[in-house]
Amino acid sequence: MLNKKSIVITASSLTGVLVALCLLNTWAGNHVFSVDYFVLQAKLFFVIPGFVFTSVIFKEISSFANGWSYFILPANRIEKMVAYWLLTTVVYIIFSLSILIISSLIISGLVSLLFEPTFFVFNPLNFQFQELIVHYLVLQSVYFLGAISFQRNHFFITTLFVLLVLGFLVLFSILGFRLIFGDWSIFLNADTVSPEFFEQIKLWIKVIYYGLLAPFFLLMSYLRFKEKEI
Amino acid sequence: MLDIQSLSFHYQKGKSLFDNLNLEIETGKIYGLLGLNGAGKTTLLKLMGGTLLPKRGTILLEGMNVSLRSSEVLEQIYMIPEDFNLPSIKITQCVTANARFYPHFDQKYFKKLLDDFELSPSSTIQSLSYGQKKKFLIAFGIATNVPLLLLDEPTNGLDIPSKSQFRKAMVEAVSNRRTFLISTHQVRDLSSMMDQVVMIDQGKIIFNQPVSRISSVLGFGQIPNDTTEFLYSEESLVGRQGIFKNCDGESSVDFELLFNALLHNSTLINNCFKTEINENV
Repeated sequence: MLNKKSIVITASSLTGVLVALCLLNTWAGNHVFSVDYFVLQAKLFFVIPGFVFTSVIFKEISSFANGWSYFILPANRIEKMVAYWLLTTVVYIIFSLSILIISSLIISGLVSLLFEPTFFVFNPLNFQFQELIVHYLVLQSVYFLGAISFQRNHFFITTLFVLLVLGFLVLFSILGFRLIFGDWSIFLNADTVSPEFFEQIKLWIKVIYYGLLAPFFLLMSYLRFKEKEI
Repeated sequence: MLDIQSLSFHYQKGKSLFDNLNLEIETGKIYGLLGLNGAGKTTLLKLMGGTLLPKRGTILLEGMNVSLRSSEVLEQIYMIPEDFNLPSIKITQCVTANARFYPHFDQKYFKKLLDDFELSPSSTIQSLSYGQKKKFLIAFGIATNVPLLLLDEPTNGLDIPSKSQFRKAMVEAVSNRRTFLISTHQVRDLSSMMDQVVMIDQGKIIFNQPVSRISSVLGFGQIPNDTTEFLYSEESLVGRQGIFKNCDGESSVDFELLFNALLHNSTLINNCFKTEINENV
């Protein structure tokens, strides 16, 4: 999975699709290149392959024939897990952002050649993308746990699992509010609750999302990894 | 060196493979681990290598728990499995990436073993045949200089010259600080190099004796048809072969015959060793 050939093929294919989509959009949009369209696609092309990559990162160690050398390698369990985590976060982020920069240059060149002169270089350090990277780091931890926990179809099962958990949380929150406030009025008339209360709730959600979610899922991943057998 | 205490293991609940198994592996020996298909040889090797975890009991290597898979323990073990997939890189790249994890890895020795096995360090692993890949792994495993080398069916896939090269390499490499544990069905390939025989049947160690003791306690050979004084016999192409109590010094051990005899009646064979101790006392 991690050999040079498959990395080059995957990266080239994704770049090709992104370039084709942007050229089609430019052609359909009066031959004017849309930066917003590129950024929107870039977000998708950054996040979804990242989750897929994370989901299959433990595939190699799911069978004895593939994973024996990894298991007997003299390194601590935590070192082995951190290596995979770094590969799917830091290394992936640097690699995919580099691909997006190269893609933007290719698109600029082709748009200039086919439609009208355009120069655009994707800037991965803009605030929008920094925020996306933080979201990626949080949600990636869920797929990391899914990669260790499930035997096959890791990406789809984890996505389904996330959707189910989110559905459960929404239901739980609605029922919780109903129990605390005694009626459904909070959803009909937000003025009945003080803004401070909403601020407090928002703060707690932020603390849980940004501060606790990823460490929790990574800890769970480590505990699963500790018990992994082949 | 390796101490297995009260080991229990199962793949499925209710279908126990090992139940309260005890085994002590001494240093400086080549062990032959024998047993029928499905007896648990490979599972036992995987448990010793830490790729499987015991349900109960402990496996201690020099006092360290193997199941914790710490780098200190894993530095002491190398395992050569029967079925393996190797990365699509050159031998030299694979060695550079992995050898650094083994503090006593001997590059010169590795190159010598590659020469002996007629392998080129610049070969791409994926271009090698199964037997050549196995020879690469054997050379790597020996060159790691780990105290415990676990080998699962090492001679499967090796051609005849390679089998003798393998035997030579193993005998040269074993020392009073290294132990090799070989799980095999090919007893004839390895009989000349084994120091101790361990046999598993139905999740239990039914036999565990040094070859030197086997050859002094038991005799192997042709049995006349009118004789009834034997422990086990079976018809073969060259007549009736059997095992009997040895009264004439050391004899050469027929491992296949011993294997069949142990499957037939291990208590009878083991009693000979107990009797010998009692007689000596």
